[in-house]
Amino acid sequence: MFRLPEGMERVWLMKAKGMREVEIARELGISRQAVNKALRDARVKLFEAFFDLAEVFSWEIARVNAEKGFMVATGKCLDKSVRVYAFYLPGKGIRAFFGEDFPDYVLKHAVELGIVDEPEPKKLVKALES
Amino acid sequence: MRLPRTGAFPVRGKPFALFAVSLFGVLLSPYLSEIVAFPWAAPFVVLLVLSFVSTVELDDDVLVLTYGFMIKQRIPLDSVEEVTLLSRLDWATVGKYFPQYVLLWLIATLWVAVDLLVFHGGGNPVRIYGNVFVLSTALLLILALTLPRGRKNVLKVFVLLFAVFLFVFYWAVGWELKALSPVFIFLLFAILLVKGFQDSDFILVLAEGKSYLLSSEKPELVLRLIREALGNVPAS
Repeated sequence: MFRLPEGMERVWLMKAKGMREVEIARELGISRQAVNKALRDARVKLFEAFFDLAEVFSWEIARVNAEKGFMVATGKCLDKSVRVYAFYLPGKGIRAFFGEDFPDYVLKHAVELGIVDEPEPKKLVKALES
Repeated sequence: MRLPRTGAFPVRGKPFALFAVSLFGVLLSPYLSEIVAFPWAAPFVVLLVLSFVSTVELDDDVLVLTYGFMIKQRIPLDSVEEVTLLSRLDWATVGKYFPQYVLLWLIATLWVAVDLLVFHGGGNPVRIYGNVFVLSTALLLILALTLPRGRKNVLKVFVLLFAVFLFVFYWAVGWELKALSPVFIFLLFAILLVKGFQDSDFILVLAEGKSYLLSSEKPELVLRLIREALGNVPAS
């Protein structure tokens, strides 16, 4: 299962929640350069993980956002095209969902990262698709 | 299929500077032509054409976008934050990521509208019809961005028919063809832009807070290139 290294994941999550690099560096007691490096590496790893996932399942990628850690793709299910939404969830790795069927923990995660302002599936889909 | 790391293939990009200079050059050309008998618009038209001929290639871990063989933008791959494939480009997207384009179109359209209605309302008919043509072109482009993709061919046909009508009209009334040059320049401009907005997917790359827009008939190749490149970035 794909997981970002613990330290990198912490830095990435803080940035995804909207903190500035300087603030992250101050809070974690590391240099700003180290924060920047961790973020760049995290983005590369997330892109790679999402691209790999799409390739394995033959999904067509529509959007990959490594900053907030999500992917929007189109997959096939019984010859019908379905939208697939995949998220990188800290501590859990990547989880993918078909349509608007999001569990509560994903909605909560989306609110925490500022993708949406309330845990509403329709709003989340709209934000991911916009 | 693995793409060669040095491989380059054509995409159509729309860099703001080249686009803006060309647009205003084309719009200014009728005024300049009155001062000196020289096809002022020609170099701007060349620029405009070039702004649609671009390449994307890899230079180590940097994605290099070359617009019109001149302007190069270098995007370090580890700074890429988001890659989005847009099956159609609408005003909401353009306004969100490229507000300068919207502003430019508004200024250009207002310019022509004021010129047409205020300064040349009762003046030279060639100039007036030329301006009507530009205004129509601007409106057509607005339509082109809002209509579903399949219906944009209708627009292209409409632009061509409109041009043929103008040509016949000018010919019939016996005006000098020389005076028509701005009209044909606008025609070329319109066809290029409508063509640019139709039949192609767009790829939006966000990196370091900046937006880069590419349009390509083979967006999956661009995505694959980015993907291959990302796979080669040494992440520690």
